[in-house]
Amino acid sequence: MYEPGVVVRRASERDLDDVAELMIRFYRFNEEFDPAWTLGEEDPDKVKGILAEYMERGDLILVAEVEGRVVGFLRAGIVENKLLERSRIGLLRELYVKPEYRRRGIARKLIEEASEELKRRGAQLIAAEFPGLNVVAEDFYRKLGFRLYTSVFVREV
Amino acid sequence: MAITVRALSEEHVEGAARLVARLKMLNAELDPNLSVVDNLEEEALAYVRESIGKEDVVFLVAYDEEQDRVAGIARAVVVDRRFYKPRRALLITDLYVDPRYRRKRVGTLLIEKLGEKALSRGINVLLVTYPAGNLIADRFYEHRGFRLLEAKRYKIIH
Repeated sequence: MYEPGVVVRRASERDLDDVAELMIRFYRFNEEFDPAWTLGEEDPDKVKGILAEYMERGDLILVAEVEGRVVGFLRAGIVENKLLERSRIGLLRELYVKPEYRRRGIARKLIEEASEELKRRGAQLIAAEFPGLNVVAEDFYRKLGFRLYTSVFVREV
Repeated sequence: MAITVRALSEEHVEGAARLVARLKMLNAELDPNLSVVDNLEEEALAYVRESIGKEDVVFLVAYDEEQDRVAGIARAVVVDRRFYKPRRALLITDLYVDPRYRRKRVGTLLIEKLGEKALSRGINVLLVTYPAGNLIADRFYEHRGFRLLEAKRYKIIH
């Protein structure tokens, strides 16, 4: 079967419309597992504005392209706990690949590229964030060699 | 929060179609062999509209009075199993609750109401079909006493 090339690159301002759409899909899917992940803002233009802020402050935003079309993205940044020996963690905040482009290693490629960049930014560990009940994500990250690191429990206040 | 379950009527077609589309999008997330059509919203609207007034279709909406919003939907069809007893069963083809209304027993309420509709037609078996990868549905139905009955497989041929 013909497998078109996948290009992973840094997102630019021009990609923000595409990335906003994928971002909304990412949260909609995670919302299925826990309503606490419901988007506060579903207007693509507003999401785009928030994305522009993230980009401005230096978050790592990568996009995956197939035949010139953006089909997946990842956003990551560094979180720090100065008390720990491994104080800097590269945290994958969102990762999404359109369903029709799954099973081609696109997400894996996004993670590999991001890992290198986050390592350059001082990360000693790479972490990924998703709802505790999202077993799809859990299976995926375990397959890529990730292990459970932190559990975050919430309740309504 | 006041949620009432009622039969689908024209005024809730759009709200119901929005949830049908979200359900199909979720299915697409769970299995690449369920990639949705490009005109999903349009098809969802037609699908919901076609269900109105059909003798063998039951379409319920859970409605949030305060917010004037459709919180959940359930669609089921009467099927004749021909070779199996009892022959007639009510097959749930679509059941979806807006994530904002989860954990409030809306799904349970919809299932209960479908059960009442079935019994009123002399049917005492509920069937449900959903994608194999939908672990949320697995847990939901298992907790409500549904047993696994059949499998469906998919293969692309050349």
